[in-house]
This record gives sequence, C-alpha cells and structure tokens, in this order.
Amino acid sequence: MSSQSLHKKRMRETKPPPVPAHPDGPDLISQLPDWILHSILSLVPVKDAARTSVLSSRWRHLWKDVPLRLDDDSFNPHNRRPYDDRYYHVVSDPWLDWSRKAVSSIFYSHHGPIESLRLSLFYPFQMDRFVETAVQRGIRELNLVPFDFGRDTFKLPLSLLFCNTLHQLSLRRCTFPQALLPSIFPNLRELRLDSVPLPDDLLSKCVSLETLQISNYCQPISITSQSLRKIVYDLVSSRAELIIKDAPNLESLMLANEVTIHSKVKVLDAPKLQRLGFINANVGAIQLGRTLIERHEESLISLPPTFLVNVTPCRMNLLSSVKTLAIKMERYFEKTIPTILKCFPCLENLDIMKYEGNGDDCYLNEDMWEEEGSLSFLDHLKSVIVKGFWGDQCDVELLRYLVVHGKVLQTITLLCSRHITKKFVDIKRRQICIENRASSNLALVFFRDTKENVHFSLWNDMIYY
Amino acid sequence: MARSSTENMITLMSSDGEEFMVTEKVARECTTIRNMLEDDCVITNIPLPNVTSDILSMVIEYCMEHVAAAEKAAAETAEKGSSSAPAAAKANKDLEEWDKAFMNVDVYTLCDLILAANYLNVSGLLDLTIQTAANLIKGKSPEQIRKTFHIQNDLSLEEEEKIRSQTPWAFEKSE
Repeated sequence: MSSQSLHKKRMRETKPPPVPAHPDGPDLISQLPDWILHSILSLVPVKDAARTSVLSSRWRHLWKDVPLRLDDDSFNPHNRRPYDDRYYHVVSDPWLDWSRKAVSSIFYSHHGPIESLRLSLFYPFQMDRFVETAVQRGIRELNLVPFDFGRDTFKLPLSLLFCNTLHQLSLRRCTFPQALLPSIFPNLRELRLDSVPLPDDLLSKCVSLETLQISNYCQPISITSQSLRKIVYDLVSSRAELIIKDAPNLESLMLANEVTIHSKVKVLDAPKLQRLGFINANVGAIQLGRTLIERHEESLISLPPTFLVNVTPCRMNLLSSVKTLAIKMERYFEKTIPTILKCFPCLENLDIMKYEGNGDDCYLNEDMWEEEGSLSFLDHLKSVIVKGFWGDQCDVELLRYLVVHGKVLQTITLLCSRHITKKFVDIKRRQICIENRASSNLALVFFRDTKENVHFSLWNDMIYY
Repeated sequence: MARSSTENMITLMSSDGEEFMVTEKVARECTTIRNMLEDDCVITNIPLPNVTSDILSMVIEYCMEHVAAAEKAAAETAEKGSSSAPAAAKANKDLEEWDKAFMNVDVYTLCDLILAANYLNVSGLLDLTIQTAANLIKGKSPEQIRKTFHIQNDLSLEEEEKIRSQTPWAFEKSE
C-alpha cells in the first residue's frame, strides 16, 4: 500500500503563483515573535538588518539584539580584498575613513552578542579596542587581517587567549604574546594561521583544538596534540618541516600541492589518520611511518630526480588506518608509487592528480611492484580516481597493475583533461587490460575534467588552479 | 507491541477540522509530534489547533518529500555499500531545487508556514522559511521591504530621520 495515496486531502496540484496580496493586507510578519524576527535578521548582512530599524516602531530596535556577524570588508569602499597590497599605497583615503567610522559605529549602536567579526580595514594599533570589545561580548569567530602593507604585525591581547566563547580564530600577520600560560583558548575548535609564528607550546595548550591550518610559515613545526583531528598545511616557502609527532586523534592531513622542494613532512604517530594527501614529488623528504622517501640532494636541481627509499626496521607501524590517499604524480615520481602504496596496507581510495602528460617515458614497470613483495592494499582498494588523466604510458602502467591485481576494486574514475572520443576510450580500456580485471564488479568510467567536477571535491581546497 | 514505522498511520487534524492521514515516519519529522508519540505510543489521532488545513497540507508535503529523499539515499547506500559522492551531491541539489520551488509562495503563506514549522518543530522547514524571509529583506530598501510584507510605518518623519542619522552607514551607498 502506498503511503502517499493515503494522504486524504488532495495535495495542491500546482503551486500558487506568488501573488502580491492586496496592499492593505495584514502585517503578518510584524506579529511574529521577537526570536523569529531575530533569526531572520541574523541571516542578512548587518547593513541590511540595520536598515529595518526605520520600517516601523516594532522593528526599531530588533536588529540591535541579533547576534552580530560583521565582516568589515562589506564596508570596503573599493570592494577589493584588503590584503591585496598592490592597491594600498594611498595613506589617507576618505572612503576608507568613512568605512572605518561605520564599522566603529556598529560597535556603539549594537547591543547583542558578537557572533563573528572579521577586521581587515584597520591598522594593528586600532585593532586592540575591537578585540577587547568582542571578547567581552562573547565572540565566537574572529578573523584578523591587519591593514598595513605587511609591515607591522598585530600583537594579540592576553584577554583573547582566555576568551572562553571563542570557537574559531583566523589570523594573518599577528603574533602571540611571548609567555603562554598553561591553558589558553579553552574552547577553540579551529585555528587558521597565515604568516603567524607558531609558539612551540601553543598546540599542546589548546585542549579543544580540532582543526589547524597553517599557511606561509617556514619554521619546523612539531605536532603534539591530543585533540587535533585535521591539519591543513598550506606552504609556499622552502625549508619548512612538519612533523606529526604524537596526534592520537588526527584523522586528516591535507598538504597543499605546492609544497616546495626542500620541505619535509614526517608522519610518525597518528593511529587514527584516515585521509592523507597530497603526497608529491616536490617534497624534499616524506616519512610515512617507518618508510622514508627522500629526494636525492644532488637531484634537487638536476633532472631526472632520484628518490632514495629508506625503510627503518623500527617499532613504528605501517599507516594502516589510512583509507584515503591522494598523490600528486609528476614526471619521474611514478616509480616511487609502489613504495608509497606499500605504506598503506588498508587503503580503500586512491586519488591521483596528474600534473601533465608524461609522454612515453615511464619509470614504472611490473618489476617495481614485484620488488615490494606482497602488497596488502590490493585486498582493500575500492576506488581509484585519476584527475588529469592523459592516457600516457605512465597512467596506463599504473592502472593496468591495479586493474589486474585489485581484488575488490569497484570503480576507476578517469577525469580526462582532453577530449574523450569513443576511439580513445576503446584504446585505453584495451591498454589497461580491463578484460583481465581481478574484480568482476569493476567499473571504468571516463569524465571530462572540470573544476566543477565533484569527484575530486575532497581535495579541491588544496589545489591551485 | 510490534511497531513498524513504515505502516503505522497517524491522523492529524487541522484547526478547521480537516483530517490528514500520514505514515508515522512522516509525522515524526515534526519533533512536536514525535515527542507525543514517544510519550504515548498508541496515540493515532492528533489535533493541531494552531494549524489550518492549507498550511498543514503544505507542512505534510514538505515532510513527505524529505522522508522520501532520505529513504532513497539510504536505499542507494545499502545497495552499493557506500554512497558515491556525485550521486549524493546530485540528490542534495535536487532536494534544494524542490525546496526552492516549494518556497514560491506569497508572504502570508510564508509567515503562516514559519509559525507552523515553529509550532510543529520541523527544523528543516523552519530554517528554509526563515532563510526565504531573510532573502526578501537582503539588499532591499526600507520602502521595498514595507511593500513586500505590508508593514505599516507608524514612525513620524522626524523619528525616521533621527534613526537614519544615527546609522548613516546603513543607508548610504558604498559604491
């Protein structure tokens, strides 16, 4: 029996058009309870909410009690991102002064709690006052980008470090106070730092921190945290080093694909790590549990680069918690793939980003897989996605091995950077030896690669187009 | 007592006396009704004196659509072992489109739906209706908003001028 047919009253057959009800109709919206009107106003920019103060006496003060979400960039007269330094050579700008006054005025006229605040139009010396006020009014999300051509940094006031309402903090060109007390940011969940020096003991003192994003910081970072679940390491300068020393709850480690040549990433102890990527050819050294893959020093400038693999017989485990791995495959790096995959015995999803076609040079062959001995990930691997599939020798060699040996492989998704013709598909299917697939359920699908493609969405934030 | 959530039927009665028979699963989308059912599992007839039949039929339509979408997603996950990201993304988009079409109503219906969603505690519908109302305010001048919602302005010209002068930034064009 169809449950839907039991619905006694006939459903409206067609939607009524949004009829403009007669002009003198009842003012229903003003009769809604305060909290509902507050909810409505909380969803519009503060400028729009403030305009409702002149609607009628009912609306006069409503907007002032709505939790404030203020992004001063919406007052930016030039409507450009303020940190685009190229545009800020003008010392005195009347429009900018007007915007700063407007933002200050909101602080004086608004009474409600401060939900979120983003400041990007103010000089470091002007920010203290805002931050102090925000702390007093229960700020939850704070985003500070000092306006100053990158010369001066904003030193965070102590009161912010003890703010127990703060959940999310994004900082650019700020500095933490010198001596940190035993416990800071008691409820902070998300911390995003861009060009901010990270004090050694900061992470271990933020007991609630779950997500950490670090950009543009070139000193070595050693992660010891009981609470961290996700790390985003977005690094564009060299000589940086990220060591995951002790992160018992870390689930996700995302490395931007532009990590440069001298940098090092070491994943030593992260027993719950599920997602890891991009592992890429440019990293000077990457340590995955007991396997260390190093780019040979001499090959840093010469081509082709060589990679040294060093497996230390130590206590460290294989990274058997990792289910999803992303690799950025560049020229010559393909030969390290069997070694890399061996580090992940329970891998289920392999996402590969190709940078360019490798032509017919391929440094990966059957022998390299054989050298690694038994590869247990082949018993678990379910999905392979290749973004930027070119169909060159390198793609074919890799996929053929996975097709022929992947026992439970379900889908191979090829996001093609070139036009897909039937002939191309037929040739590639044949070259990949789809007839000899180990898993009878395997589906091989081709898509045109576009930015909108959702298949690679997990990694989209980490890719610079 | 054996309870099968797909077969149990509940009758909902609107303020104007119309009866709507729905599956328990659909009725449970309304937290208010779910709480009643959990307090007393044999209840089958629920009067809703705060909701008219027109509005109740729309609330039910919303709940049915969302239950169906959730069931479809669950079935696909069960069938394939795991839900594929593209399929889930498409299903979400379809449901969003449906929501958008569903919100093509006049402001009176919208206000009634907000009250009903609040009374019946259908969080998805409450979020949707409140967002729709917010969209009608976003970027609009006070005159436009008054016209849209038929708001009677009871402020004197002097009062209105005073408010405007206190928050000039809200009324000036930034461009």
